[in-house]
Amino acid sequence: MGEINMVAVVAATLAFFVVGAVWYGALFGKPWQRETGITKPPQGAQVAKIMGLTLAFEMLVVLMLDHTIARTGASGHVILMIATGFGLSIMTPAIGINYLHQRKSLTLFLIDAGHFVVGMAAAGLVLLALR
Amino acid sequence: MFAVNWLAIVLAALMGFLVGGIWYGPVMGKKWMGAVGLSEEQVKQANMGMVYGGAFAFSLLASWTLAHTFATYAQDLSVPVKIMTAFGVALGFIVPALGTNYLFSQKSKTLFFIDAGYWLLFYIAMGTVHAYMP
Repeated sequence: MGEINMVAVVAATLAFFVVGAVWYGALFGKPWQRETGITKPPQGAQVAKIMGLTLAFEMLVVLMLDHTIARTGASGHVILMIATGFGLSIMTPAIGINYLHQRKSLTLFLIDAGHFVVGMAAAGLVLLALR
Repeated sequence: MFAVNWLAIVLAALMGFLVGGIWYGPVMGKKWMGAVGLSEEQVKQANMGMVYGGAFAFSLLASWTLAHTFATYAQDLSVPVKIMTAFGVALGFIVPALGTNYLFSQKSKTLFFIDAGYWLLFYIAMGTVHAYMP
């Protein structure tokens, strides 16, 4: 796996998480609720479970990103290109194919895919800044 | 960016498509429909050209990305390492992305495992094609 800078990994994970909070809160909270039909926020223990698992999933993504950067020997702006590019061309097509089959709307696809592209860009930026 | 094997890209995308047909057809079809809450009529109502055309276009993009990633690695990768890398890409980027989405949209674990399993198989299939056709 190469050497892992855990401070950078944790900071990038938090950046990803904050992007999600802003994205599904202030920015696209309303349209997301309309598209998914979910209007009631999760309660009690459910909140801790969702947030905890989300942080764990996002840390896994950041660790893989860090590992990819180490293995490809990328530096500088290439790190940002890899991060954003993986959001655009690995995560987005997967979500797109799933949503096509699930008959989800284009709006929901754009909200959810956009979250990963911007989240990956933020994570890449932090990994680049803290190298 | 363009120095990739285009034939392999198309073939790998087709393989992913084929895996999808089997996975969401005879293997998991019924379970998936139940988990996603769609009836057979609802599934048939959609514009099939749009669903399959769109899915294939996304598959091509994913396939190109994998080929491009292999091509830009600092060292040459062996066939098994390439297949493992493809599997790792699905496990490390796609599965967690689906995980967070499905958590927040309150989807069942069943749907998560069906869709996550599909992506792991999809990338193993694509990785195998790209590993043998660099």
